[in-house]
Amino acid sequence: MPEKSCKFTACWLVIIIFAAMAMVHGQEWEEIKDWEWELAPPVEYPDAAAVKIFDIGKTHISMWEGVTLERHVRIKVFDKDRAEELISIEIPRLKDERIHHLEAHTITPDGERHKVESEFKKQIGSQEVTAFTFPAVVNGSILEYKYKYEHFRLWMLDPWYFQSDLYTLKSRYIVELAGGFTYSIACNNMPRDKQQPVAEDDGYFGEDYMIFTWELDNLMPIEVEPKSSAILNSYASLYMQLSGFGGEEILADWSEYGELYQKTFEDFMDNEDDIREKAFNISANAETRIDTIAAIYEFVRDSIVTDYKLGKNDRDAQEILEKKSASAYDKNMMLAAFLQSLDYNAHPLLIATRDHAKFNPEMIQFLQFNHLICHVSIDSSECILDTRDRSTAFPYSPPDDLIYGGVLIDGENSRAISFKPRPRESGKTIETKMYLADDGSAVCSTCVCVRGHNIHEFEDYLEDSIKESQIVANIIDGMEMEYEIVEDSIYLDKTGDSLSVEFVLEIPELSDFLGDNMLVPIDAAEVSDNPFKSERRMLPIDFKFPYRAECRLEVYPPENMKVTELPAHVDKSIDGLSFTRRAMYDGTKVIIKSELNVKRAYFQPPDYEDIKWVFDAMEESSYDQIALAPAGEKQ
Amino acid sequence: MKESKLLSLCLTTLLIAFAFNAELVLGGSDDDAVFLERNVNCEIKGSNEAETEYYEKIEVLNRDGDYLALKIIWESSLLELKDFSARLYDANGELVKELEKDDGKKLCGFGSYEVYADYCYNIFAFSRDIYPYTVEYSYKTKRKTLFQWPDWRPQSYVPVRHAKYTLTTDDDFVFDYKSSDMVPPPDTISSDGKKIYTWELNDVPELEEGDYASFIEFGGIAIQFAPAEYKLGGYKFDGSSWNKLSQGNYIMVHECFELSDKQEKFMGKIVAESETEKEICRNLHRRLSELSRYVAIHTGIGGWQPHKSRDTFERGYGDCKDLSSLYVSMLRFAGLDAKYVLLSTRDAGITDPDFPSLARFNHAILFAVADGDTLWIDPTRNDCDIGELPWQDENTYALVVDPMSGCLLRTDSSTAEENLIVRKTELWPQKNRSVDVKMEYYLTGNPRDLFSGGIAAFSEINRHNILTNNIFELCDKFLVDSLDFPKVEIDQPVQKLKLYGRIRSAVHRIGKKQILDLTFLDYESKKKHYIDPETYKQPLEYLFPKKLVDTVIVHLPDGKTVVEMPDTTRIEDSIGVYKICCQVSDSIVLLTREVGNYQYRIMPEGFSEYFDHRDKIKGIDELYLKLGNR
Repeated sequence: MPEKSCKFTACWLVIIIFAAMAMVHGQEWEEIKDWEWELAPPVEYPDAAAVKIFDIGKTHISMWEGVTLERHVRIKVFDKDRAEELISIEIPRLKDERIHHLEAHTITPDGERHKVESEFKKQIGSQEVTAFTFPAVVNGSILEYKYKYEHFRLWMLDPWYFQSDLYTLKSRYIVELAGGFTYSIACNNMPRDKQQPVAEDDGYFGEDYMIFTWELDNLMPIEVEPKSSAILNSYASLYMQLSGFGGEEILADWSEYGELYQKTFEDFMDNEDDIREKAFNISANAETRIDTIAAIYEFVRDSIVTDYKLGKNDRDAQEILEKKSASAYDKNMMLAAFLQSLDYNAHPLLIATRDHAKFNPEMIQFLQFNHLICHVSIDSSECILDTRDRSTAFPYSPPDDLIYGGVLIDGENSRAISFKPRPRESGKTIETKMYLADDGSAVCSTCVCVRGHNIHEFEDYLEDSIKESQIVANIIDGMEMEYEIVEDSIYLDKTGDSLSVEFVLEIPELSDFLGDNMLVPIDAAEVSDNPFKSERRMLPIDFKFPYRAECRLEVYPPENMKVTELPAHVDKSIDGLSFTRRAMYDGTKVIIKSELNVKRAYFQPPDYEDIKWVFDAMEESSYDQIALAPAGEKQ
Repeated sequence: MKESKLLSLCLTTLLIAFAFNAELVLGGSDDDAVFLERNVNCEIKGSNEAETEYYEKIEVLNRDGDYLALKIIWESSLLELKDFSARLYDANGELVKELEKDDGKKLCGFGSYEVYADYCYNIFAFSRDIYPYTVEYSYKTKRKTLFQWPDWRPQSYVPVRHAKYTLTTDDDFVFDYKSSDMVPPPDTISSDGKKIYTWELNDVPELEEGDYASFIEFGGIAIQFAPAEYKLGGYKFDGSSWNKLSQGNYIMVHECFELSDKQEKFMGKIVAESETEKEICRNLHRRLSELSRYVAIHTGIGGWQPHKSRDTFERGYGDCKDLSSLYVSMLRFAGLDAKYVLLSTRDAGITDPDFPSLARFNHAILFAVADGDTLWIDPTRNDCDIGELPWQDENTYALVVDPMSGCLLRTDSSTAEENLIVRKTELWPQKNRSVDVKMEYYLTGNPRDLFSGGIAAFSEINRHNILTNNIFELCDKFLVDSLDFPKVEIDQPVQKLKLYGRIRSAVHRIGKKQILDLTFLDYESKKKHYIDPETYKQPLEYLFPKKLVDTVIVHLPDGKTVVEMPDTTRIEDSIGVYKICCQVSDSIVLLTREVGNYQYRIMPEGFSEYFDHRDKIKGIDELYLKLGNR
């Protein structure tokens, strides 16, 4: 062939190859449809700064390749100034695992594509985070990114969260499962009709695969809301756990997990004789079996400093006894070790704390746990014990441990158990006598008493070294006025399951004056705190425990002034919650009694409107005042 | 994946806020901890390196002092943590725990606001819940530049029993330092070709906190250092004057000004569309505000050197340096005299004009001379028009970065008349003692910017919450039923805001008369914690001069008339103004007020004038109307 023709052909070949590559590239990214360009914020979330048009994850599982997640996300931006946090992306990975084929770009409304050129690696402990941000973002832009994540954690796949902090039009999760593998699935917060996947057979490169697809549409974003718990359970999500391979069951139930964990516990208890001797010495003066448990519990709680509240700290029993400090996790292992050494029916119990997640016994995964406590059976009752907080009296649990189940570690007898938290009368009482002077100043004598679980708010006051004046300052922290604590007036008392603090304050400018008329505030800050400001609510409301907050205020007016107006009665009550306030004048003093009664801990989102109504009324009424006028004044 | 971002942001923010901001939040009350020792030993090696040894011994007395048992040490390409050890002792002095360098948790890449920053935090923490306990920290750092030579600030919000700073330099090393009044002159000795300076203090007074306290650490006890010359990433700086520093910075920055063809074409279009130089500035700002956003990525000396203008334009994002150099380069291309400027924002520090140092500057903006006027522009604020600066940039020293005529000048100030909150309120007292309220706000100047900039980042729900709970400190007891505020564009100088709500129990019955309590209209809460004139030594911060012009119309209920109303009052001086006038006509009461402050901040030397002003205002009766039957 003549040279010129060769060159001509070569050029055409090059052009064709490049065109083909461009086509393939364009196909990989999937064309953006007209409706996506025209997309506006959804009706149910009109203020969205951005939405996920789709979020597609495909997990490929095979023996030789391990686990590969391919992810593709497309986002539409409506307001770039409000979307900044939402459009800076971070992808975490564990050490020795791989993220690759990361590509991302912005497509502006004029159709121009702007590639993400730079990605950054951040590090947090053993986790690495790949971070990047999108270039050239203007209102109406579409952002896209995709990547592959590879690891060999066949036994424990990362959960797929259909919901996120962005409104999501479509979230699709596909699992390509090679033959021989069996996974158990746990669905969280998914509609029933979406929990069963669409399944199909497939095969390539000589391997049989099953393909499972789940899809959810139009998902609201999850935002942090006050008085909520178990946030993870609020996300529509999917968990997968390896339960079999090649026909053999693998870790099919909790007993097999428990056996693995039992080994950890046995290593922890390495020198059982020493532990037994120590336990014996600690409880030498105990008269009954319950007293013995209480003595050991209190020893571990008070004599071993809590190093970290949650998480294992990799110390064994011997080291803990020497160093006298440990994580809460290890302290509870220590408690179980002491009790077991004395032949009590005590075991470590794996739990998800109340703020973390709700334990799902069907989901055989350790991922759901974030803490370990101690379970003791004695006679026909059981104790759930956690030594992390000094304010938790025996045999109660801290508020975050008010849960209903966990996994008992007992070798091959390890199992999921359920139980009810021990009821505990909880509440707060504030009694104040207020003596007014005609210059607007006042002397207030107050007693604050907390009991039950409410003692946790006052944890600090159990420290011997904290100054009493500091305690009082903390209690009246929210008060927006000058005050002075009367010297030597503070009295602190801890008896049984209650704690009380008495003190006297001088407040130079308590009352307001409108002309000669005095207006006296009556706000009991402890009772009137209203966390429910938002008009809408996504997550359940969790007060953690039922309690009653009561306030009794006696106001003694100055001799030369008379009461002309009392705050109105308030009565707001719904199923499970009420607020009442009564005001009366007996000729000498004004008496105001308020009570917030939270009768149950947990409410569903549809109850929110009513809850807000009660708390709004409580907050509004806190601004009411007592009106006084000069006694001799003609009205 | 939001989870990781949430985890890392929470962890980073919590730890940093815990370590740095906790000191600003706590304090001023009974001791939570005591620094027994707080020593620094700094040795300058050659002319551009420093090795510094730190030793701190802290007795923690209760839970509120726990934050001092946490130590966070930065590392970067210019700052290395060489050694670290720490010890925890119980109340009896028994050693409980030791930490070495490898025991720390390391976070890298996480900035406080950056998408990425190439520095690391080393976090060392003791956790103990039996008090008191004592922690001891010893560590050594190596600094590869004398730029941002750390000040010595021995004060804390807890007492410091003993503090010492030792500086060792070569005999011929030239530097300047500035110490506050309470710091005695150093002991100086020469030995073996070295000079050793020692400053020592016993019983260092605690920093004071107050309600209106300046949020910068003003004055107090400090020594600032400035080397005569230093290098930063291959660039040399002469610290002998502001002009020299400006030159050094210019060399570092001007390389970034080169434009791409795309930029030149873009700018050409803008020039073609504009009739005046001011219009060029305005059109550029508007276009770039649509196309760019604030994103900080700091690598290398990226904390100080802007990215290239062409790259910032292409990416559509940058931090203050990037965006300022982008604007400067493009305006210069259009033929305008535009200058890149460095400053310390009002909430970050006060620049001493007699102490040249770049170290305290934390922001970059620009100005352009357009049609004979100097127009200041903060490109990070696309809610502020050209010629307007956000309050943090106002009335502060700024360094003009120029190869020849670099100098320090002051940015524009604003007046109370320019920062107006005009409010029109109508009140309808009800039989059930509540008052229905309709309010319209018209905000200009800094109040407008504060409002639109502050709420821009929040969702509708959160905006409502913010406005409901804190409308310019209106009043907690104002219950908002609905509100409406359109988003303003740059060219709209006025932010409008409409509120409908009510005040519960604002009408008090006193016999046959009624008192309508109008204190909810107060712009400033009466019951603030007033500073103690005897002991307070920090500036009183107003943020910026501003004025509330208030017109209140009260629709009297049928059969009611006014029997008592506020006296006409006028208080005005250099500190501020308080005027009130009340008129009655038929069933309408018209109340007009002006309440304002004329200063940005009151320095301690001006306190007597401030207290006079404050006392006059305190002497005025609370706002109310007494109503009786016709």
